[in-house]
Amino acid sequence: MTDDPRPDIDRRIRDAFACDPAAVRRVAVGADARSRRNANGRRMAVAARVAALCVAPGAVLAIIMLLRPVQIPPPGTGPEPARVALPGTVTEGLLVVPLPDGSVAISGGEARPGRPDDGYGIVIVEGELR
Amino acid sequence: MRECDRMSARGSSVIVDLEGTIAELAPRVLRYANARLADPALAEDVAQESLAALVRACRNGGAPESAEAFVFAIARRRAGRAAWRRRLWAPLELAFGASSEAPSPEAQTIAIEEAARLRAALGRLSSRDREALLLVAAGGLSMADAAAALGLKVSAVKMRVSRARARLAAELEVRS
Repeated sequence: MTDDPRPDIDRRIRDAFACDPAAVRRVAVGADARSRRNANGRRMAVAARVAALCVAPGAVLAIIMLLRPVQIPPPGTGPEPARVALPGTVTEGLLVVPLPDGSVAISGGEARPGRPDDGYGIVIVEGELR
Repeated sequence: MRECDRMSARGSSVIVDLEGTIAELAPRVLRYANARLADPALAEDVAQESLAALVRACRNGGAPESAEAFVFAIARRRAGRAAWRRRLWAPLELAFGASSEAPSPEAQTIAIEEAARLRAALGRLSSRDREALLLVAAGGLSMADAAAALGLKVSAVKMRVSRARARLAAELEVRS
């Protein structure tokens, strides 16, 4: 068995760790059954891994979305305010527009070329209602 | 297993009679695992798992060139892992009284004085020397198969085994 035989040492080891024949039989007989059981277990493990691979990207994406900080747009960079058409009049150079909340907005002052002193029409109002 | 035998015979494998191979290897790998682990139940588990790996390899058409080297390489790895696991779980088992079971007949057999002395002496060898010696002496592997199982050159295994035998003999002599 070896080039440097020391039969006494090897024999002592073999004798000291001798096995129970019943245990040897159990090992020999159980090996086949165990290999089949392990094959089933491995198939299950592969299926679990595939399922995990399919689910993992979605889960990671969801976590990233949840952890992402909420973006608050700085003032002035938000969506464009709605444009509303309101009836208004111009009286002596002043634009007078009754607003939906019941108040009246008056603006203007100096007459501008092309603007009539008096009249009425539709005013396009843009911006927040105050 | 018969099917496996035919598959092996068709391929490049040298295993023709798998059942015979397992019957021949079972006591050797069990003895090796016993020597490594000093726990008959755990050793049985390791031996059975190692032989099951051989059956699986044959069934999948990948029968190894040397069944002995294949089985003992797996037994060696599994015994190492089992020893680590046991070390990790030992405190918990002690805490929950899991290790207070009565020793099995196998445990009683290996707990005789000679085995204890030998185990103590083996414990004083370096792990590399002890591993090589146990593969050859307890597992009954040839130097070539032991080298394959350990992933070493034959000359390196010869040196380790020779050194281990000499040190073990000296240890046993000193303690007796």
